[in-house]
Amino acid sequence: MHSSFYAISIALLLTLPLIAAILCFVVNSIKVKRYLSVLFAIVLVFICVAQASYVFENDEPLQLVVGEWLPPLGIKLVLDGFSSVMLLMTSIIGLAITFYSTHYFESDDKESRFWPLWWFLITALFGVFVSSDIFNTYIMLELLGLASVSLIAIQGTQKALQASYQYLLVGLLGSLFYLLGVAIIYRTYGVLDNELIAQLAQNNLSTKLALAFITLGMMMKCALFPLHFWLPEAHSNASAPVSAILSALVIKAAFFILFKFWFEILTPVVTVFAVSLIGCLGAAAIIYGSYRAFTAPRLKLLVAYSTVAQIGYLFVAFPLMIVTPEITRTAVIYFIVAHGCAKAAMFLSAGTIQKAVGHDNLADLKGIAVHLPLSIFIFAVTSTSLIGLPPSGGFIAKWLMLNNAVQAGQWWWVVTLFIGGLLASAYLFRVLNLAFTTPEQESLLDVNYSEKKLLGAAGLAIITIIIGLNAIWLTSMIASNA
Amino acid sequence: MLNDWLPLIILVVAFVTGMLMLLIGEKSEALRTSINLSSAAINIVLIFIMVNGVYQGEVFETRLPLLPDINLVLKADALSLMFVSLSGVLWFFTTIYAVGYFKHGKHRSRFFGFFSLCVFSTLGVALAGNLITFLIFYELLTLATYPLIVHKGNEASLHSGKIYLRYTMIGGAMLMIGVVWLKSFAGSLDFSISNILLNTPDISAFTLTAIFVLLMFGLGVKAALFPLHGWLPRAMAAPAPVSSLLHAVAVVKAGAFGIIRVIYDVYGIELSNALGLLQVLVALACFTIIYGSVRAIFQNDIKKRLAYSTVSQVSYITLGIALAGPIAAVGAIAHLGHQGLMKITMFFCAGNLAESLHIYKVSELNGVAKKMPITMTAFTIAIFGMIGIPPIAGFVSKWFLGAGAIEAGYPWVIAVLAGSSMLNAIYFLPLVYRAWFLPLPDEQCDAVGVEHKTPHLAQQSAHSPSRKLESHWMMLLPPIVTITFAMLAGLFAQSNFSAMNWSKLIVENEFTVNFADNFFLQVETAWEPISALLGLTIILPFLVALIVWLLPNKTKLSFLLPLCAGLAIFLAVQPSNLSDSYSSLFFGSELKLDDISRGFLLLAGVLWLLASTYSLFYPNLGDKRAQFFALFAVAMGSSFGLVLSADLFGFITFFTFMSLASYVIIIRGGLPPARKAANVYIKWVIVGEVAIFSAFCVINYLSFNPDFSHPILLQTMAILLVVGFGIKIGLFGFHSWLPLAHPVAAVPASALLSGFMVKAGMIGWIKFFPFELSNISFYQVGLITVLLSITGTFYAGFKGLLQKDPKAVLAYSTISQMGILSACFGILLMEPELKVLMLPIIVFYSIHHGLAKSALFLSVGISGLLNSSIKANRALLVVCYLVMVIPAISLVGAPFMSGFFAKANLKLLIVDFPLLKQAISISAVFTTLLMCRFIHMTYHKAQNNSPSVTTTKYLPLVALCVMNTVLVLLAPLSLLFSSSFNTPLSSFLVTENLLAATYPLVAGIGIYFILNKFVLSHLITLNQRFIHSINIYIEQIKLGIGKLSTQLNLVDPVSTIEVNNLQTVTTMRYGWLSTKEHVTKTMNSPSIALLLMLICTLLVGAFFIGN
Repeated sequence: MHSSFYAISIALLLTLPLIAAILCFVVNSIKVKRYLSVLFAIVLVFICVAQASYVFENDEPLQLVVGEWLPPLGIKLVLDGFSSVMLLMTSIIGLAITFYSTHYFESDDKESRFWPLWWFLITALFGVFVSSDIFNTYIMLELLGLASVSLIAIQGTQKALQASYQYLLVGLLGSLFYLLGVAIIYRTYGVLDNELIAQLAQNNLSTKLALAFITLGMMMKCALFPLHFWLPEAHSNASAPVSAILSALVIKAAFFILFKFWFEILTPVVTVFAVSLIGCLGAAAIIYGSYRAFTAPRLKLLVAYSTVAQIGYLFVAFPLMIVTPEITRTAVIYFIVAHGCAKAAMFLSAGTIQKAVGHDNLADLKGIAVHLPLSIFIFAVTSTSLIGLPPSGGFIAKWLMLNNAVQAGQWWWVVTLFIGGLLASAYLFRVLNLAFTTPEQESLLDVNYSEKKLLGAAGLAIITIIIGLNAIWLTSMIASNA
Repeated sequence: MLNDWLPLIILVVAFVTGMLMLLIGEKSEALRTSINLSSAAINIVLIFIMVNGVYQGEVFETRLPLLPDINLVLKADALSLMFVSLSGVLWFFTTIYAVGYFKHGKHRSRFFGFFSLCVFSTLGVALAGNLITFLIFYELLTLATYPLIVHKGNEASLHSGKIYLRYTMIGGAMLMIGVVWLKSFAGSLDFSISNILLNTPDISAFTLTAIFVLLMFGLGVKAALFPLHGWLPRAMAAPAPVSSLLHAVAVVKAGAFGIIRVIYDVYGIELSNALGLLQVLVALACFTIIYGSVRAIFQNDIKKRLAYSTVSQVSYITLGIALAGPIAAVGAIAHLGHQGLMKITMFFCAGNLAESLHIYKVSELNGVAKKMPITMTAFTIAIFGMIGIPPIAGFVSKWFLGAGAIEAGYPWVIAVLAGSSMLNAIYFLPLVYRAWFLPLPDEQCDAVGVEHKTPHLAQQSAHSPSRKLESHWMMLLPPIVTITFAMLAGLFAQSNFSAMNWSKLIVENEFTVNFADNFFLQVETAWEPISALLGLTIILPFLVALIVWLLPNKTKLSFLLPLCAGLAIFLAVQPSNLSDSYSSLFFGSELKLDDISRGFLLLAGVLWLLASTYSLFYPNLGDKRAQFFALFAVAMGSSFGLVLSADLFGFITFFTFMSLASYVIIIRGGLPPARKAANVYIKWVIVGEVAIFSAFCVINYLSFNPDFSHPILLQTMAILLVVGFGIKIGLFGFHSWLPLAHPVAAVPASALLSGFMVKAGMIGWIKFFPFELSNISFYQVGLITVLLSITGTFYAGFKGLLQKDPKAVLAYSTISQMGILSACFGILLMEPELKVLMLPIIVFYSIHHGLAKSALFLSVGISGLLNSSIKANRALLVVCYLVMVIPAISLVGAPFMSGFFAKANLKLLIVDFPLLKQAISISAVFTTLLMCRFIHMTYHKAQNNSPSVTTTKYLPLVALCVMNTVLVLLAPLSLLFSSSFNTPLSSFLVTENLLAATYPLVAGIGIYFILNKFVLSHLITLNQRFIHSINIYIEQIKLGIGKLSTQLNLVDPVSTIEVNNLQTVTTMRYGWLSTKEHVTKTMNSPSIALLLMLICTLLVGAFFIGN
């Protein structure tokens, strides 16, 4: 009875945001939209916390079989350790960004377009994380892509439109590759449910092709080097809340799918050489992304390239998954959470800086720390996490990664992580350095900009620190059930 | 319950303070200051509770889960408390200082916020209970300090911040890899578990070494170990409170502390030694010590000089740990605290100079002490501490490091320590000299009459009369307190709460040794009430000095001086042997009055009584009489002290005090010859101190381990002792300061210099030379000493003849006479069994010479009466001549005089050395020549100088001279009452002896007349030419060295060396990553399509290859 109550609550994860989207679409008043959104976001956080604690306590995944039609006929929504962590993160970051967005947009026009799309995006994210069916995943993925593209486009600038167009093409191409892979799998095994495929999966040509296509598609969506080309433009030209959710969550959704395919669904196909290839691409992403971040002329571009680099870490974990799967899984999920919180908060603070100063050209941002202390503080704290310095989630994540690499005996990844950390400090301190510089002419930066809306971002920054101080509940939750 | 949370609470207090600071607005200064100071004070209280608890064996530990197999552990053990209390206490004072410093600064809330966070991380580093917790706080420290370094926000500070980050980020990453790697083998890495690594068998030595290198790399960056030190001098762009905290406590110490933790608590001494890692570390630390000092010499920027000095000094800690012995470890751990106290004082003072007078360069320091006496006093004491001058804290740690080096089997490390002290003196003493003894630049300009552009100085001096203090009190109090702590730490090194004693506690746990039983001398005392006078005799003059110094206008107080000397005389005539001990002072100090010290105490007392009374009436003391009396009193107290102390530390402390007081006495005239003399003198003093220190290290170690036998080391020690004390005594070859220094001091001072202070060397020799080492003979050293002494006797006799200044003649005569005394010591070295017989003779000879020489010097002061134009009373004239002639002939050894008995006694003992006996006789001829020359020149000088003072003013002086002469005459009587001489006095009075004593006198007088008539003037001109040409050569050589050093780029403050360092250090430089604007390119579709196909093929291929 109890468990079924929780199981049904999974459905709420999809219906509630959808209802919110529709309400936001129907309601005219901006204020009502805002209140509704914040309310829904809070409710969702509660639901996710309840579900996560249930999964954590009972040590078993939650399942909801829609219409009581069991697979392969019906569809199933599953909430296991990994997805409950992802949901929790999504809801919390979602709340922070929602709160931020209520103060962000200067024109009502943009904002009234923003809210419905925003809730569609959230629906899609939740959908990706709970679906246990490769075709449903595809649907959610499409929804996610379209919502993201539209969200970028509402910024309305020439650059944003170009970027969103590019993003649309890439997203569609990626989804198509994914669909191709799904088609091959369905042709081969005749089922779509994750678990059933995992039971049937064999190492044959069609499965290999399917995984290759899916990987390719997801790599595009994840912006893994060298398929990252669309990301910096898209992320840096979108409005701040959108950039935040794109960097923190949307690409993680693609990674989530990819990770499941490689290590849960089509595991027999995975070879050492393949994971090494992915690992190398990840390493290249770290180096290249950091380099580009270091040379980026604009603040948001820098943060966007930093995402390219940080995604690389996730892929570096692939070769380690073969050797030490359990702890690597923990490390990967931990990294996703740490990066998600940090990157979202960082984009939000970057957005505030951009708003306050009117631009985000790094060369002209000298001395902003005086005017925007909270923004810079949040930026600094999240930088700590991205570099992997204690006490922050990033540190724990890096620690776990290093630990894995050492235990797996693959010291070259240690070197990669080492260089990655240094490069991250190089580009992030570029920003902090500017913030502490005393400008030659004080008057240029006469900024009186309220930083109130950054409260949500500050909350995320604090979470980044807290998960660095006590990582045990998160890691044990991740490790609780497969 | 509280015990579980106290470490955390301490951290939380600091952290919350930091956060509050960031939140409090820029304007609300009072609120900020009060919160800041009160939380710092709360933390001090909490730390004190913990210290007390740990002392009583309680356990304070907070354990928080971080990861499934990792805990965040905060634990207070003895070692961490050492660092915690240092940081906690210094936090408080630095905060006070910073409040004063930033009175009108910008971004104060930011500054104080990060400042508290910095302390928070330092406390965390200190309290960390395992390596992972350590790593977390260590990295946090980097982050917290960065905003402080770039605080000023200008180009220079941003640059230095960048460099700081480069070093620390790379280091931190290395450390992290090392920790992760180590953790994969050894689990939790708790510091409390001993021998973690010994119990995990499956680690190869190579892996362990590699991890060790990684860890040392990471820690070495912060500890500024060569070649990872480059960030530190550049970090000087930060404001003064930051530099003081960074350099004294937080960052560098965190590195050094980490090295201690890794070697002691993670690897363990045995394992690190077995892996051969410590040897490398010793070498590296030694190199850093020397390298840092050498670089410091060439810095003109004060803070940079201090920074390089830090590089050098922090490596002492590393060195002591790497030596891997308990004694060295005590030194290293104590140095953690000691160096902190001294260096923070120096940075406070440098900050004061920069803030109040805008002085940043060493070359701008001239005469600063006149404007900022308090600051410069603290600065000077700190400098002395750094050089390692007792009794300041720095000496204590060096002392233990030295003994520990021998114990660990690296005796050459002593040479490094000595060299470092020497280099320290080279780069620090110029600061002291400029500040105290050179005139202010504007004064100089006034004198020359040139208009000089020093607007800020002029402004300041215009302001200064209106201001009461030299700078804000908040900037003055902290350096005073810290330097007081530094002095107390040295003075009361043995007391319960001293850094040194605490270090012993730590080391006892680590090495499972017990210091109290094994190593440190236990003093058993038969205490009598009168013994208390021993300490009082020493302290009283110091008190008088303090009073006179504090109340410079009450010159009448100087009448207290002779009273102090009276007390010493009273003690000296006590029949029984006395001793007293002060267990908490120094390393357990012991004062002893026995046969030898009684004689010297008597001499000191009498001479000081005479000289201090004399100086009360002496008109030519210069403009600052109070200063003279204060110095005089210090010299007096330290003379009594060095006579009475029976332990090494006490002796060397008083010895140094005396040397330094004499330095100021010599230089205070301020005239060029005085300057020159003082500079030569101080150089020799430093050389001597260093030599004595090195030798004492060995002797000190001998007291721990009497069976120690290492022939080369012991011979070296003997040579060093001979040289060290030989400098003081004016041994030939080490005498060059003496004829310069003695004449330039005021008359009463030179009487004491020649009469007593030169004997300090002799006292040191006979007190501390280990004559009775069973398995080693110092025959060769003795022989060399004798040869040098005799050469000196004749050389000085000849050289003295060529002098025109009567005091210079007397100074040469001192060298000559001291030659005989040091020959006695040389004989003791050759034949130690003579010791019992020889010592009373040495004492008597010293008394004889001291009295006679002081009488002669004092008589110089009344030579004005000899001027024929003054028409003095005839009887007075006769008296004047008598007070010159009687001591003179006593010195020569004329019959029935003290010199006669002294020499006769000596000759009895050296029957085995007939040549020596002859030499003494011949030297008497030279002495006669010198005395003739002296009287001649005194007369000559008196005639040339126009008299300025009336006769009556001379009367008390004459009276004192007469008293002194009477004492010279009475001196032989003391032999009658002495029990140490078994030969009765009368036995010397045979014709043969009397004749032998008379002929040098007669011959000498005759020869002098002849010489004076025919050759002396030629000789003098020849000598002058000779000296002139030598000087020219020396100048040329100096010029050559100067050119060479400029060519070698040594003088260039920021040379290319560091840049190269950086290249070798950083495996990856991001210099090549320029921040040029980049045009973002979007890829075109064909290339994307190609890329996709490529990756797809690769992926499919990859799936095939694996199978």
